[in-house]
Amino acid sequence: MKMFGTVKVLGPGCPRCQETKRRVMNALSELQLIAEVQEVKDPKEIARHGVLFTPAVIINNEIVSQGKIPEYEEVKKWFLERAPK
Amino acid sequence: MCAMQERIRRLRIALMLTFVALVIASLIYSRIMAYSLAPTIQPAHLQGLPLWMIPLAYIWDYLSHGWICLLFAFVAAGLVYEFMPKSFIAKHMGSGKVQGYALAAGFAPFFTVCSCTMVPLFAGILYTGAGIGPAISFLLMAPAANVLTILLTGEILSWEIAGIRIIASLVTAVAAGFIISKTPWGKRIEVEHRLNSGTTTTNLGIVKPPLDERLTSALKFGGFLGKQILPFFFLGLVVVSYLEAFLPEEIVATYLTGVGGVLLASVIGGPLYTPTLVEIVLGRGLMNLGMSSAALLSWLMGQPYDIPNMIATSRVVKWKVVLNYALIAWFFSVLFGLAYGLVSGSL
Repeated sequence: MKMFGTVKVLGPGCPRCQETKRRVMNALSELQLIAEVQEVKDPKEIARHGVLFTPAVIINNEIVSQGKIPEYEEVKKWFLERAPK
Repeated sequence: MCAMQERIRRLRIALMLTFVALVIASLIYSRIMAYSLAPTIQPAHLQGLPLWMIPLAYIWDYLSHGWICLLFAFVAAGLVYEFMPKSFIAKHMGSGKVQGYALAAGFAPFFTVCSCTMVPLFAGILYTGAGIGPAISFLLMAPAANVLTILLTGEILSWEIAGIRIIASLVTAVAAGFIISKTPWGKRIEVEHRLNSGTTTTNLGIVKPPLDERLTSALKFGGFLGKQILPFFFLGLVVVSYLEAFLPEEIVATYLTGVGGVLLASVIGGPLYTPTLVEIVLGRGLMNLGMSSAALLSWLMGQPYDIPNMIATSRVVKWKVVLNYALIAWFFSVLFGLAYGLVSGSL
């Protein structure tokens, strides 16, 4: 298992945000990566990250997606592209 | 690998576009055939039915006429949301006063979002540095004049009302935003947010996903909106069916017409929470019972400042601001209701 970094899932807690988080967790476990997964639910906090549309995903301070539930394959691609060698 | 994938992609795109085309075609067909997509049942019909049948007849009436409209509305909402240039908007919101208002009020109608996204969106606009004015404008414009709401207002009530609803909401939204941005407490919030907006996040250069994925995303979002909204819509229909069957028309005629009607409708329509689209159904029910069109406009304009909305927004800005915009919105709903009533003689 490799140490990855921080992944934040931003959203006020609606079903779409839950589904996004689920996909992130599943992708991490499938790719055997350990990461700190944070949920950001407070609207002010969400906005402070520069995110307008939820659900959003931020990987190590980079906004990789916002405004939709990302496809599972897409989530894996993000991690694969950034995984430590 | 590439050629095969390409072909599958093209197939999916073709299928989805065909589906969308069929939906649009059905809508146009119904227009040409002058087939009314609005419900036709009247209170008198309902009263003659057994108790348990009332909501069923009502729902059937709505569905059998309006299913095309509902389908089109959700598909349209999904497509518009997906293909709206979100990153463009996010980037340009903060670049100057007039632009901020124009973007907020102008683009808000295209964002039919699940109500949970509304508050982060509002907070987000504040943080782009666009100012409290555009943020409030967005907050008031989006629930009232989005794709879904306007399409259904037009079909179920009238296109005249739908058009006026857009204009009235626009004026109200910009006015409220502007007024609040001039108040000392509004300005303080603006400053507070601008100071705090040192974001440590960078935006990934947006590479647009392939068309078939975007179409899928769009249709899925439309479906999601439907799943979220329709159950409460049906519940609303059940409630309204009984209302229309049993509320005496004399009461409606007395209290929901004339100047008093506009005032009452604005007071109830505002804080009263109705799930998305139910305010249209309820409005129609009351119209059938004799409410005036002027009062209807007031009623509809109350949509953006219901109590749950206000509570959610109060978590981002103080109650003072929330009550401010609620008051301004209420004032304009009365103003427009009266104006419309006088001009169209439907007071």
